[in-house]
Amino acid sequence: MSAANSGISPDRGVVFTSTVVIAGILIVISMLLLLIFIFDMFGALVPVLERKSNKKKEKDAKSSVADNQSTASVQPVPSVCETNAPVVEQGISGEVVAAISAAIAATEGPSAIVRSIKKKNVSGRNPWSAAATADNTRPF
Amino acid sequence: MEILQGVWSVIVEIFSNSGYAFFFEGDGWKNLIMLLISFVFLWLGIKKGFEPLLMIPIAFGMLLANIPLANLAVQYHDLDGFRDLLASRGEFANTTPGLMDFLYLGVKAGIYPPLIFLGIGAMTDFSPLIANPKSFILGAAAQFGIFFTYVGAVVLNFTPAESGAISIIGGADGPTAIFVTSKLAPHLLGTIAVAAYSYMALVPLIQPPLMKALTTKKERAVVMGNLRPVSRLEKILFPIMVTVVVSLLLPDAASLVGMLMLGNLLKESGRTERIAKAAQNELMNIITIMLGISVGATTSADSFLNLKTLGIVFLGLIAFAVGTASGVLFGKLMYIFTKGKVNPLIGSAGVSAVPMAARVSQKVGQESNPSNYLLMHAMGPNVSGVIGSAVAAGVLLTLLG
Repeated sequence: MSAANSGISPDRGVVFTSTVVIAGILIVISMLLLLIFIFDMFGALVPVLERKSNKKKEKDAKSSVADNQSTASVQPVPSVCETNAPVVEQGISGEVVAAISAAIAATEGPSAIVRSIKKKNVSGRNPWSAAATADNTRPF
Repeated sequence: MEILQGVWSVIVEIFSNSGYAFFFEGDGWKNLIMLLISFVFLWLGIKKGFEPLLMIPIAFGMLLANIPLANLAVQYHDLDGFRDLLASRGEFANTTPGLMDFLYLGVKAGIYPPLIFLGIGAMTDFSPLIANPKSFILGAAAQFGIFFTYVGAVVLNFTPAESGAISIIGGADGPTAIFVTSKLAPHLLGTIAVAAYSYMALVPLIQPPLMKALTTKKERAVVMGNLRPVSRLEKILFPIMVTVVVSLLLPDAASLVGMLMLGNLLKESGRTERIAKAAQNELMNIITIMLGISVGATTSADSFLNLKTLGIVFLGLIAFAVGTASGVLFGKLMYIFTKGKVNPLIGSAGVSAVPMAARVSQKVGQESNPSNYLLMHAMGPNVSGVIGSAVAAGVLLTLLG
């Protein structure tokens, strides 16, 4: 399509110039508004769809585990020695303790001992998110 | 004696047929000035680091095109001209096509800019835009510079097609500027490409004063909340949907947007790592060389050494300044509507110039609040600006092509 097809011919007159400017701005803005609408919808829909598909997968996995348990013998779980367990503040989950211990073991070596894990009150931006942002944005 | 005379006459003949002698004949001095200008651009690219990947090939193309008698300048402006040149007929009856004529075919036929976009798409992470789709509006706002400059170019006596080509400098997107100019005003291609890349390199100097003048310290210090994580499904659907939505309305923008999005899909699909890498590296590098050198070869003395060039340089600066200002002002509007949750500085990144403009937002933001990380937030408007300028290009081609 060209301007000639739409009945207007390109010239340096006020009418054509105004047409280009107004039509141009309107089309660019409306196109990007349409994309905002579409991706706002996507943002709302996709997590719901993914949650559904994840639930379905979990269900399938559970049913297959149940099938396996009915046939296989139960393996005894080895007991864990807890003599050197760190003092952990309430509200910190076992996974977090394990992740911190693993990270310290990886950097300091297996001889390092975690004696306690406490939450620290930090005002302003969460230092973990600040560190992650700094790490992600370093290449730029 | 006879031998000496013979040798002398041969030396004189060689010199009189050389490029050196050409500088002293008629308008030959213009070629000499163009060579000096190409040295300046080479210096800017090498010493000052002005978009060197394109500035150096463009400047060298300019150098080669202005070596007299070497037949390395692009001789035609349209595909009919190339056909005439190939057949040595019409105005090209006494010439043959040279290396640059063949390389320039990729620009004229609209092949190189979309292939560059393929590589850019394969390198771009659209997650910040998907996580915060409202960034799209900042990418649109920054395109105001294009349409403002169009009016300025018309006032300065450029034709509508030339005005469209000049105004696209405000899109701050080299391949888009080259694509539009090669179709609307091929005789201005070299000048517009050089102006566009020079201003893109100057973004860190042009933008901060405007950004600071249009915002308060309180606005610049706003810390924006973390962006939500984006799923793989969204990243895959994004390029497909953008291509369909934009190309259906503006088929003229389809080759640019389509290739940008194909490159991104290759990256995000997780199944085509090999070709995504080829698009990002080998293909992009090869096309950059051919695009740069052939665009540079369009800068003949006649097309560059005139008052129009000064007008284009002036209008290009206006385009960048207005684009930056309108982006920041829209950012201010978002700051007001969201009750202080959006930092207006991210608006200036909507002019494209990826990722330079986003880095500028980050830098200016950190001057007001050292613990502020605006970069990922600014990348949203920044990549949206690429889509916005491709849409604006489609509009200009539709109305003026």
